[in-house]
Amino acid sequence: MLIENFDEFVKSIDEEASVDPVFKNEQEEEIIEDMPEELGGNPGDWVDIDPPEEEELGGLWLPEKELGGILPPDNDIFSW
Amino acid sequence: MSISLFEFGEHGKHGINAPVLAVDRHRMMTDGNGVTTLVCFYGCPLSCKYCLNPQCKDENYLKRDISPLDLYLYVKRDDLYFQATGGGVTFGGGEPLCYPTFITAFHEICEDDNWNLRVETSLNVQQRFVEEVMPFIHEFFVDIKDMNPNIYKAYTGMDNGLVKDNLRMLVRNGFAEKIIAKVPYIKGFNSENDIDKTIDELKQIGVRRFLYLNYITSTKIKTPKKVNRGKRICRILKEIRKTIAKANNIEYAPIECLHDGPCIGTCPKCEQELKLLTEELYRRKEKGFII
Repeated sequence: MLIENFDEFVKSIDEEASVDPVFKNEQEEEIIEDMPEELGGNPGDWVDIDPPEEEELGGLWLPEKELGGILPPDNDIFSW
Repeated sequence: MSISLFEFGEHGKHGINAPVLAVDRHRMMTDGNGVTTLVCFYGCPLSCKYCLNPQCKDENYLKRDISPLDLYLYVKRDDLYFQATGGGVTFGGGEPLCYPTFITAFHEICEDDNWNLRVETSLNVQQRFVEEVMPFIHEFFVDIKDMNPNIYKAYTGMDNGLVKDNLRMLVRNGFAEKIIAKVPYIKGFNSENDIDKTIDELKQIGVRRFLYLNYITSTKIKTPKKVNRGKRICRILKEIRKTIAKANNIEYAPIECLHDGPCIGTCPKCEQELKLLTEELYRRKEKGFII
């Protein structure tokens, strides 16, 4: 494999271009058809989903809690 | 870069076609290492409350049955990117492991190409489906949801017994390092304490690699408009081409891009540069090349 450390490779290109990698997945601008949200696509299509009502969960509603930093605020898997 | 499904041909209509919603090229740092192409299948056994891809269960959504060979002929254009960066093809959806025969046939077609094949899966499928693909799948990104069966059922409408059985089976067969467990905080369904318990249970099973995440439950997301995601992809791909060319003593001077509008990461000029570089390397194949 020619580029052993791809993350570093991308980071150096971003730095040279002055792109802040923190926002790498929020820099959506173009509209691309047929790209579902989960696939990194079009934020304009995203819809609000209200938290479920307690009765819908059969009594399993759990209060929202602060998670004390266990979860990175900008995870790549679904938050782009 | 997402493509029109009608770009695909009609090769190999022999019963192992699969319905595909989208094929997305030039993904980076989201579906495994390197440059990847994501293949999004139709269909999923789960009914998640915060499903980010409800199209995968919408009967009326545009989808197309394609064959493994159709797919191969399309994705092969990024062969150089895959090989140079450790990337490859990632199957998602929907639930890709509903189509193990398709994925196996695809693997048989591309097994000499040195690509990494990955799946983004819930593992909530029959064990024989996982067994069929586990020898050659490079990484399983497993969306665990929560290991508590009650929370899992409340969120997905399904039991998670199969998920646990499949995790144990993968570990038992020596594939623990292939598993990347995605452990989410699901607003309204689990808590920090539940997440801790989930991680403990996964560790007891033998899972060792974890990703923590939040599910998106609203549109409240920062979207800076001044930076174009496609331009960034284009810039990175161009650097990859330059690196490959330099390593193989190929004279390559990319055309300066003067396009000022929206960019999807590639364009006819970029595609032509990639094609010429690929052809030049293939010409040298017998003598050997570095990639």
